[in-house]
Amino acid sequence: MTDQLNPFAVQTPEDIPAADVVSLFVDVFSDYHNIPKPGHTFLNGPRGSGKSMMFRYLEPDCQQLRLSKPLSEIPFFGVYVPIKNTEIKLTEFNRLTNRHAEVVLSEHFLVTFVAVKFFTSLLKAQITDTKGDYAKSLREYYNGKFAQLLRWNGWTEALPDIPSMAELVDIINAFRDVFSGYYSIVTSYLRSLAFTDTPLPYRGPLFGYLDFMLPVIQEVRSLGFMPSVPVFLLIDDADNLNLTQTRILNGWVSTRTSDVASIKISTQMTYKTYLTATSQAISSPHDFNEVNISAVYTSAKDKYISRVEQIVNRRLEKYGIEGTAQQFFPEYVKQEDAIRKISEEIRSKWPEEGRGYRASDDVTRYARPDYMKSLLGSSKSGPSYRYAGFEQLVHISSGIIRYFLEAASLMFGEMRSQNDGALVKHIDTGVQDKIVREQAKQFFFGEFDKLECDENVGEEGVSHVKRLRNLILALGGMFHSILISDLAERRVFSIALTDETDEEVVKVFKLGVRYGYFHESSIGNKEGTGRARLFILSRRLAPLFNLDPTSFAGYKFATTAALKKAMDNPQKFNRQVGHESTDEILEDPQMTLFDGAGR
Amino acid sequence: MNATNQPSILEHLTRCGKDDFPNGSDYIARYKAIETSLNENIHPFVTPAASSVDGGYLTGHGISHIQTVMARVSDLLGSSPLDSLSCYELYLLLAAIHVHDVGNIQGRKNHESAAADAVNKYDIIFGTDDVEKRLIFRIADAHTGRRGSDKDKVSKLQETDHVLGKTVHPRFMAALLRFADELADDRSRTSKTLLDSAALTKDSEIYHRYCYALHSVVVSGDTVRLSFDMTSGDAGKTFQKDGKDIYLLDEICDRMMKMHSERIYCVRFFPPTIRIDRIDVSITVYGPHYIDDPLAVINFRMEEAGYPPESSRGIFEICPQLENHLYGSPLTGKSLKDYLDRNSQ
Repeated sequence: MTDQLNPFAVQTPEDIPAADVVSLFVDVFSDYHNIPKPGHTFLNGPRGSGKSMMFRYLEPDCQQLRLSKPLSEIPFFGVYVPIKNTEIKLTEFNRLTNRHAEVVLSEHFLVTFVAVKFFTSLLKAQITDTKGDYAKSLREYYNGKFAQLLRWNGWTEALPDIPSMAELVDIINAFRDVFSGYYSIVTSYLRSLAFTDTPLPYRGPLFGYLDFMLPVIQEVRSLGFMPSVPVFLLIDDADNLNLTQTRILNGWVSTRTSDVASIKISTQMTYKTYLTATSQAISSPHDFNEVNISAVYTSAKDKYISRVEQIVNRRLEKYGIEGTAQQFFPEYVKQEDAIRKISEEIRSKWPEEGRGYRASDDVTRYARPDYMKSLLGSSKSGPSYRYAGFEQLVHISSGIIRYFLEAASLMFGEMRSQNDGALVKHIDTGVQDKIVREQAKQFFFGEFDKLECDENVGEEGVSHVKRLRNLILALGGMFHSILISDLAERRVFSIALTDETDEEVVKVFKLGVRYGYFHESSIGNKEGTGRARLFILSRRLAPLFNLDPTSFAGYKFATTAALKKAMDNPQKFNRQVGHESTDEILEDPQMTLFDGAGR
Repeated sequence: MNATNQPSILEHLTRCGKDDFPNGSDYIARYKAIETSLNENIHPFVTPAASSVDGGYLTGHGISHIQTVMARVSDLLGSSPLDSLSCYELYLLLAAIHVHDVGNIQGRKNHESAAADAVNKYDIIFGTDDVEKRLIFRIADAHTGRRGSDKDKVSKLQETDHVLGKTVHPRFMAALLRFADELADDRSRTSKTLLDSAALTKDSEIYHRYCYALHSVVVSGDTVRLSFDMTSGDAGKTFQKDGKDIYLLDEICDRMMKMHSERIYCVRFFPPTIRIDRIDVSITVYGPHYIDDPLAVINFRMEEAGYPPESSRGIFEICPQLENHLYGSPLTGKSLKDYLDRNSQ
């Protein structure tokens, strides 16, 4: 057996050493140019789309390595602030609601949390202080202005002493310990509320962002060991903040202090509100810039393929595997040859039977669907379509890099066990196909079981989750029927809403967007008078419904009434699709689903 | 009783019961302890200490000024303050009035933020809850100054909050204190003796002259009536301010513009039941002595009227983001055209 390492193992970015980050990270900031620039930014993208890795890359240790420059010359100082449920979203805060200074205590809690991370970043930056000048100036600040700032904010107790011989690292640690202590005071206080119905007095400091956090950042920055550049507060997974914390963070964004601190907020598209604690709305572009990862990559799929190719090639190289992404994830030759043969037939018949403006259009539209259709007649033990080949796998990952890497990692593991000790130099097409099919099943069946435990019940007693599951089954089945039909456009993956009469339908789609089953976009409406919502089914589900994942251009217009019926009874909907025009079913449900049977 | 012969907010506080306060605590006793302690240990020393730190001679920031601010708040709230504020809010507001200027004891700069530091040693009488204490200081802090570069400090407070199980309205309390403080810059902050003495430096004299001239402030319905007087001698000479010569009338006009802005700003946070729509100003100039007949009487009214004034910097004043825009700095038709031309090449 070899001990060949898995090049696609997905690690938490926080745990990856700077050297590995710099060698593995593909610079995507040409796609998201606002992120490394001063100014508040929201970075929205589903789980696994690379947000945390981007933030890790912006940290000072990575930037120094990337630019081969000392800390004093990097263009910004990134402070990574991961928002995890266990650390920040304490349910005990609910005990303060409408009782005792929820906003004030929450802001203080957030500030201490960010301050701990700020000093952790300073430690991580490994500042050199050979003469001890920086230690001296930071100690003076600690005993002077910092102590005064604490007094102004109500903290009367003396700070722990810092020995005069303490080194810079020790002093930074002392700051971190001070803030960790304040953080603990709040958590202890919150826990003590569990034992009483009476609001208990809070004894401790109370910090705000403007009157405490910013002055601390400014003063520490002015001491000479940090670059004189904006500090980027990289708030990762801000969806995990509770509503009050979210409103407080929005208040920070509304301050427009980006020359001192620019706030970069990543969300998984479920950010709770854009209102501040004082009920003012923040908006783009006035208060912040906004980047939507899935919007960038669904509107420019070549860019995404190219990014994934770079990521894979870097990993192969780092792990000593020769060859390109395409060679490591080969296509199924027999299948591709057969598709090429169909392509040639289409091309040769195009002058007489062609439907598109060019022969190549018809080839793109019909060759792969015709091949997939040709397999339908074969027995279960006969050939079936194989989801294999680098580009096809990239399409299936649906714009989210983690989906690609997770599948690739599993494929590598499977291949390593099949190889019986030999080095893995490529992934067999059978293994590729097996894993993506398993992943699609897991994504649909496994994840839905989890979701059903979490989500609320809808107005008619059918849970939103069940309706979403039904909707996906109905649409997946319909898209497959269209793929094997004789329609001009067969590679349909999207539904455009002709109306929004039924809000429940939109809510169910939105739930699907939150959990990655759909992407949301917009398209010109049928009347040409405005835009209509477009929901694109995740291509991760393509193997589940035997769909062609290589395009998502095709879409169908549908009324919310028709979709509501699909959600209520997907089997009936799909039976109907088998008998009637999909356009009629989707746009005139009253006639087709009920009355239309007798026509 | 105050100038309008209504019970003051302090009198209203003393009529409240323990049940009106968090956890049934005796906040009236606590307030009295605060008042006694600050009146004895801090207020009398604020003006001399600030004058010593900063030089010059500060106008009165002692007990008399605190009482004037309380009287102005009472005037603004009218005869039924408990219609607008709860008993607990009266306590918070009165405590905030007491501490709003005590930071001056460490010098005038940032005095509004230094109040907590100045009274930390009186920890026990301010209660045991730091949230409540902080709220008092935040209400006090919003009476002047900036937060960062932003003068709009009242908006940074919550409109409604909950402290120790009681609902409070921090913005309203802060706006009340702020506007009352603006109206309290009157004759009670200085004295004829001081004006005639050599203790006043040239740089501080104009502030004392202004205070001395403002002899009456009356809130009547939706109008604040201010009455100034001055001798012809004071009207005819100039005083030093920021290195320039200024007449007393010009100083009064400048201050009236500020008061007008403060009225517009603060009233924004008042409930609809309290309306202050205008400031009526009357300035009387006497002969060399105040017992002489008036030589001139100037009356004017300050209220919002007509079409809002246009800002001198146009849209860039209201929308600063257009000054440094992706498409041009500033963003104009020409800079947009240039941007489009550059990108079409």
